[in-house]
Amino acid sequence: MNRHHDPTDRLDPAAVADLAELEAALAGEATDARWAALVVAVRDEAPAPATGFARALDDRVAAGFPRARPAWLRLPARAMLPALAVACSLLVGGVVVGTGALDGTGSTPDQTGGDAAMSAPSSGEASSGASGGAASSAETAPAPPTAGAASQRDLAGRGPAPAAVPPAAPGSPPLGSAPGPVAREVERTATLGGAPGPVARKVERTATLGLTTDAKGLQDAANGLVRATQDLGGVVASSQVDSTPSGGDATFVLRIPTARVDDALKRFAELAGVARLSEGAQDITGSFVSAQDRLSDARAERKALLAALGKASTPRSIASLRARIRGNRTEIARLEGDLRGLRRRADFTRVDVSVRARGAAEDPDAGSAWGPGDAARDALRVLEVLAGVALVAGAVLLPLALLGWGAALAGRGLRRRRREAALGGG
Amino acid sequence: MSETLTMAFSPPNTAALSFDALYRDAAGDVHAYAWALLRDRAAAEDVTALAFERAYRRRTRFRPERGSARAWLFAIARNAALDELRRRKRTAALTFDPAAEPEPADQSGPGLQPERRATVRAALEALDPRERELVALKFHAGLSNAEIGELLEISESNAGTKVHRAVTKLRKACA
Repeated sequence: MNRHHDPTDRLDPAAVADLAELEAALAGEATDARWAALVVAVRDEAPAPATGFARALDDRVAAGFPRARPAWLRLPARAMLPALAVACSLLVGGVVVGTGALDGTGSTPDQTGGDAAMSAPSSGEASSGASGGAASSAETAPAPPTAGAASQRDLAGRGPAPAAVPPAAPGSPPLGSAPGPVAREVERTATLGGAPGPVARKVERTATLGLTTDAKGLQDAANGLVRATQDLGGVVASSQVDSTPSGGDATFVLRIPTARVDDALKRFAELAGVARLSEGAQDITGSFVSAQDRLSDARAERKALLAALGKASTPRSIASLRARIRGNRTEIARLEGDLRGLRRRADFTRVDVSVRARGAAEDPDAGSAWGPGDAARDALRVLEVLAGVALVAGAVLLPLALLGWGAALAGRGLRRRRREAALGGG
Repeated sequence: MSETLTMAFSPPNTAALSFDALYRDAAGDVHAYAWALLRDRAAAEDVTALAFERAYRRRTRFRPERGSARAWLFAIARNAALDELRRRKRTAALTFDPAAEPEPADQSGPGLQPERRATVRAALEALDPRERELVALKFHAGLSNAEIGELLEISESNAGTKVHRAVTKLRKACA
């Protein structure tokens, strides 16, 4: 079945002449009457189309071969009503379910907010004894018998306000709003656990600050942190700066006077971008009072021991009293140390600061305004993504297309062979 | 338009497809071609209608540069006829039923004597189905050897050889 011309497959001259005569006869220009007669005979052999068929086909051609409507479209409207009702019910049900799901999703933040709102009073309760800025009744409320009320607050101010901190004004920024929630210590008069006299409430504050800057800004930020800490009367407890050409990291443990933590955080925030801020507070008044009581007892005991020593007459009792006085002195020194430690914890806030410098390859936009270069990079990135998507799609679709093309070719060949076989003789 | 169905053969139309003109020009020939393959009048009518409907639906896909509209139409008609043959599980030779012999042709034309008509009919029946199709493509469809070759996916010279062989056989049988 080679359709291309084969040079060896040539008609002989006699056949060419016969075919020329045939073509002439078919065109009504026969020179040989036998060919003309054959043409007429063969053509007359075929019957003419029936008149009815011809007319019907004329009509269909004139109408443009209208398509028959699908069976379901030919159904009367009444028969389709149940199906329409079912479809509408399913649609309405789907909308209701979908809306309910959306409501459920949308209510989550509310619920979260509700929880947060509900937790606020708890936090307030926890810190009510310490919140000097709260209602006046709280002024006389007894402090918790034990220290340890703690709270955490993140950058956005979510979470309960730190304990022992007056509630922040609504909408106040998380940083630099002095005298905001980080009014460290509230002097309150309260009788704590039978302690003699008024005791200042002691609250230990902590803060964790995450800063980000560009690769060149790491050292400046580190220097600024140290300078600001010193300016505010704080100390750098430890520091670690790891600088690389593409960026680096630095970590600092700072002790900032609690009364100036707000200023410190505000100044730190000006050094680099704030990625994270977390603040905590723990009431250590109980521990402080306990240590103070024990110190008072120890001092009273020392006074009694000294008095007893003055009255002792035997060498044995004198030696025993001196030994007890030595032990008492040691205990007093230890308790005084504890008390100083607790006071230091209340007077100085530990601030953990981490600075991360992102390289240009990591974040080319850090610290700069969006400009034409950024637009070009974004456009390139979009093109890269599109190319990636096209590549993946091509990797999937190309084999499928090849398979489909092969299947179509095979199907076409098979269909042709079957059609030819219908004529008989394969 | 029914009178146009009996129009005499006209040369293939190589111009851009005008379906109405094609229908008026080739309806009778398509019917005759289908009848020659199927030897069944009703089936020939079905195939004729189906061929024109398919051609109508696909008329926008016709490309004049790839052949004449007439050759394109007869390719569609041939596929429809062969599908009908396959569907009926019988070949043209097997479908011949003496009881369903065609009605005598219109005697108003050139007209043939009954003996001559019977001779021609017998000669056609004696042909191989493929040879009979070649005769139909030549005498009813009016396709050139090149168009027949294109239709049958053979070379033009091969098509000419096959046509010459079939026509020679027919002439000898009619002699």
